[in-house]
Amino acid sequence: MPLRDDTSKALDREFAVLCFSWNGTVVADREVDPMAVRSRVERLCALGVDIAIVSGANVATVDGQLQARPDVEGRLFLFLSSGSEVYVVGPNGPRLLERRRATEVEEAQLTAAAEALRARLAGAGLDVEIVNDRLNRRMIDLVPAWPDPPRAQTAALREQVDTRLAGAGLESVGEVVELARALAREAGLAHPDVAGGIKHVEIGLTDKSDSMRHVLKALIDDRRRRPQDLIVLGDEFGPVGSSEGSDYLTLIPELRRSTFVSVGVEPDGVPPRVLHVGGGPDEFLRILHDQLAYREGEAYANFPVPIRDPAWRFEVKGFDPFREREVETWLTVANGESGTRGALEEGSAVSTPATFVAGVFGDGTDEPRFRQPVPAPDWTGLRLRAWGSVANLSNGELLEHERVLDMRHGVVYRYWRQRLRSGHTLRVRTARFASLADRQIMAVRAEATPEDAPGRIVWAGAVGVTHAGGPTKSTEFERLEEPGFIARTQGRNGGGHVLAVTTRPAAGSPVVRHVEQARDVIGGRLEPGDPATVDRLAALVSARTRVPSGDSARRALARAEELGFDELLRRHRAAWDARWRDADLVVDGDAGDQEALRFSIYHMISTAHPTKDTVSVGARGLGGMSYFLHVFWDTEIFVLPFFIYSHPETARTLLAYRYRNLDGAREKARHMGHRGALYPWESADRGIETTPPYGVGLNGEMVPILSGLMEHHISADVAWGAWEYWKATGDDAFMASMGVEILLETARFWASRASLGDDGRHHIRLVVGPDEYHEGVDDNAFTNVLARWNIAKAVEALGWLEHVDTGYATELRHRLALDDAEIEQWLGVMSNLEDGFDPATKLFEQFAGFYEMDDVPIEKLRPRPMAADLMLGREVTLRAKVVKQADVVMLCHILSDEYGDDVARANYDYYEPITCHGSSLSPGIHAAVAARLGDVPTAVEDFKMAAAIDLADNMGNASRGLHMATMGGLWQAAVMGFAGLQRRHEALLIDPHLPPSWKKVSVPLHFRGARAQFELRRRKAGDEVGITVECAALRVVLDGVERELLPGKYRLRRADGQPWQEVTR
Amino acid sequence: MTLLIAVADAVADAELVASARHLAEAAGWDARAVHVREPGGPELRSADAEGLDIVELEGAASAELARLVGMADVDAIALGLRSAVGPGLGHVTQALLERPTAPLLLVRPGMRRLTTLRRLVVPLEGSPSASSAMRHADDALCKRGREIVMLHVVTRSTPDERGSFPAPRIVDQEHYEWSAWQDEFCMRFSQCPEGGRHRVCMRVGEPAPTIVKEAQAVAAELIVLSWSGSFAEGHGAVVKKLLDTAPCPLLIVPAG
Repeated sequence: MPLRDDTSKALDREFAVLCFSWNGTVVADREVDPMAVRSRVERLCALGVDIAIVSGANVATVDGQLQARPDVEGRLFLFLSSGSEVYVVGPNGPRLLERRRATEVEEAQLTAAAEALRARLAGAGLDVEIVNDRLNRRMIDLVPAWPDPPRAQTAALREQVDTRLAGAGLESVGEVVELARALAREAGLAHPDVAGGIKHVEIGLTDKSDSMRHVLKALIDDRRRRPQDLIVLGDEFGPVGSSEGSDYLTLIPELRRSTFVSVGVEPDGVPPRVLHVGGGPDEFLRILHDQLAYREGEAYANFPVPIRDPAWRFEVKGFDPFREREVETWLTVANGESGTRGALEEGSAVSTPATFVAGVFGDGTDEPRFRQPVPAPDWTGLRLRAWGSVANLSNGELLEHERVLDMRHGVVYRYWRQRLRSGHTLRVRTARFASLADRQIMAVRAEATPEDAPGRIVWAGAVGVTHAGGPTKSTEFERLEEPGFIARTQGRNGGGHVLAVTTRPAAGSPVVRHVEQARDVIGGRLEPGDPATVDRLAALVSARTRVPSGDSARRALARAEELGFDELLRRHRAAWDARWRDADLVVDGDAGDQEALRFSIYHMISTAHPTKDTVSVGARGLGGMSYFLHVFWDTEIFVLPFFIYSHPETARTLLAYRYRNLDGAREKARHMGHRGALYPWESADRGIETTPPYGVGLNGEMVPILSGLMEHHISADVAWGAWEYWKATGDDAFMASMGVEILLETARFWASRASLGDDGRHHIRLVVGPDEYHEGVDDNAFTNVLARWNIAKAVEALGWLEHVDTGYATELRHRLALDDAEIEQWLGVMSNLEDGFDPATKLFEQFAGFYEMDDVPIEKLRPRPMAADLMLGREVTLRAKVVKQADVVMLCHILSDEYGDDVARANYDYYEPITCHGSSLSPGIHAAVAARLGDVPTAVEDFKMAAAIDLADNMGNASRGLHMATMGGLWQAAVMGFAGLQRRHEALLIDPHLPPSWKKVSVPLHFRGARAQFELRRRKAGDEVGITVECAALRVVLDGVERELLPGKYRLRRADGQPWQEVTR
Repeated sequence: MTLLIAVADAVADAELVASARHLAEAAGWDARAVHVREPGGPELRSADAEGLDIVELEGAASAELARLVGMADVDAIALGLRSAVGPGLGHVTQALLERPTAPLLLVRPGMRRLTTLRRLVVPLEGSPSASSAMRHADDALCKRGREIVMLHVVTRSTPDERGSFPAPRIVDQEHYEWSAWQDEFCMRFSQCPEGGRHRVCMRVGEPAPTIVKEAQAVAAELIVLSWSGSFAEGHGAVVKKLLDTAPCPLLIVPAG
């Protein structure tokens, strides 16, 4: 806000053109260094304000004293020598635009007139001097003995002038002026410009009215402004003695609508058009400051700020070089199209900035070769210079540093104060996002403000080659004609992307931009408190199989530029608001659990693309190179349920990715001698197996990787995802067009994969189940039961399709060459497939022979989580009843509508103690099952264990990517476990088991066309559930009984051990 | 930087002086020798230690050495472990270890003599405060052609300190996990730009014997270890054992 407290409304607005005289207005004398004026003039110019200085002095005097150097030429003009010269001032100083040159005759006439005046005054006894070195004029000094009196001594000067004039029989300077005018005409000057000051009388060819007409033409008319846009500041508009003041001539009639302000003493008053505020140069400076503040205040207020509610803020305070790479991953901004790590804009020794692009892969060059993501060039780099030195965390002392991920709005904010080694303090704010509203757009606003000293603050932005590595074949950089840069990157034998970036001064910031060695350099000389703010916009366009055209990125960037940072941010925030409406889990009572859940949901939403079926959710998201953005079963089993129930459109797209890649799965099955579709354990852009055949072990040894060869349950996992989606959404169109085919082809694989054993039963041999400590096992229960389930559901889905769309069913069967005999064969395998289940104990044997393996004392598997194969040795775990992660327990969880609590409890009780949670996939699912079974303390323990995987202070797991499956597992534990909302066929079971610390949890769910909002709370010795049903009826299961809830509000209560009771409706 | 070699007996401390001088040369430090004669203590048999003039002082050795570290331009001290009171520690060494203010080079007779210092082992538990040894090794000893083995010994416990990075307790896909962990471990605890080769080595077991075993296996000439200065119960066991059993000289660096 303006600092000046002025009641005059005339000044309380912005002026596009500031015009002022020099001596007396800006400076009190010629010895003053007008540093404050200089910087304000430069900043106003940077803000697009035109400035005109109108003076009788010459360029050496005015420019020599002001020394302003705006970053651009064309804003600051000097109208000097009383209307005879015009200069424009730019970074390199003043440049002459116009000069009126007197002819030889005019020079002679001016000299004759001046000499005549001196003679006449001398005759009256008044000795004066003629100053001849002024352009196009002669100046008669009435007090030559006092060559340069300061304005502060104006009164004394006037007194001395009056005394001298009186001694010569003259009444006033005005009389001398009239005498001069007459003598000038006598000398032959037809239109002499004669003016009087306190101690001078000038005879010239031009005067300040000529300057003002030039101002009118060049800065008002030519720039399509109105006279009202001009303010003229001076100090002598009123009469000086009997003559007009030196600024009186600026009051030309054409500018009668402009604002004229005098800061001078004006002892005899001012003309009616002039507002007299007085105060001299100090007041002038305040007026100038006000003009700046109007504009910069707007810029400062425009800087976005994070949400205040601490439950939505993921905060990282300080700077810890040991943890910085974890922090970068946590603070990733992503939108399913790309993900940008939260590295410091200005960089540091430990920073690893990177932008990962979903779906763009190339062939790695190191052995073993496999598909790896092609990162985008770094678009976030903004180097900062302040007071002539590089400003970063290692320069001087860190005073404050805080980063906030505003999870509600998907924006990462930064606040940083640094005392540089120079002793100056700098304040920096940034705000960064990857637009959820326009997924090709990313943006950052950065602001640097000097706190305690004026100085030059400069941001320099470049598009640099990424440090993230990756199989980049080439990156071509090109400067855009419009400000900005473009980078076209191609992956080796793969896709590519085009990144277009522009950096501009933010609206209202007093900085200017120029290009310097392929960098956008934006800055200016700033006063303390004034921000240098830039907006950097980036557009990223990618393609799986080629490098997109540069035009596509240019168009996207132009789209973003047209909207501007603020509008982009507004739309981005609105998009996040919309997503949270159906996704937010509100936990009342446990801030840590609330943070873990929102953090997980934020990153799941960020990572998945709702419409692009060429990409899916990589195991470590879009925030790190770990796992190379490869897609595992994590997507369907762990992450997909969140989307099914919060944003079915995204869930459908994730399944469409699998449908799109069905041919790759068929190829893999064929390659391994089977039929149907065997999905790759790891997939990337082509749907083919991307698991490297071997890896490098801890000691540099070559380690064969069997998961790509043996971990086949992923095919059933994909089928499970398709079925779960269909049942929970009722999306028949999906099932008909994609789901049935996925189910049939995966079922076909299982039927061919199983083999008939000597015992007369079918077996699936040599597999790896979820428990990867035991490779090459036979009849893994998880695999076999899901295979059997897969076949059953495929046949059921085909039957449904034949019922609802016979024609397409026939066509599909024809296309798949699927006859009745083959289906019979499937059913034969299904009914005869070994699953290790013992009806007596209700236990599944995890795989054939598991029970015969060595027991391990439980204490050796503690504390959890534990990498048991590391701690006990691989040879030990291979032979031991040690489970890496939920395996049979996982089976009971995902088929909870097939296997009741009795089976789940028996297997949980057996396997839980020997599960070491050596996988990030494990504790969340265990928490869900424990909660379902009512073992809330263990569920809470497992939940917190899962939450700590990415967020623990002392583990560093997140350095290279987040654990998406863990996040999905946390959501499932909260919703399916604690809130007890689980699908049972086409209805939702309600059976909460809330942690003691959760006073209430709010859960929104989409289910079969209905939108339901659940409010679950634990009452004294009982549970209470509020349900708001919208859009369609919701079928629920209460105490084993299905009932339909029509749209409306419901409240249910149950005392412990008692059935549900509806309280009100 | 100056390494002050505390000589008790110029003849008996020949191995100490030789190793210390090689360390000083490898690090680019000056080496000076001093003998602190305690009241009633024996005379120094020779005023020359492998070509170094020995400055003679009188007083309590540990206090005098501590004073030198605090007041003079002495940045590290080298001590012999010859005059053991208990198993491995003399009173001077113990006193200096209990109030660590500067790195201590400890040499026991029979240890592998430090010569060209091609390879050193830096045990790291994965916590920031215990990584001062690594910073010291990087600052002083990281040179082209020299290998620093960053040894992380995995135990059942994990450091509680913020910013710790022990071996992962969860390993989803080991072919990706271990290489990523090694890279990050190296980046987190080593900041050396001098071209030395860093190799992250992880072993499971009891820390002291595992460190000794690894140092023997790689023929290390120096073990650089962080040390908090506490011999209280439950503390200092690793250092104590290493003083007894390390196959090569130990450079004990104050933690923090």
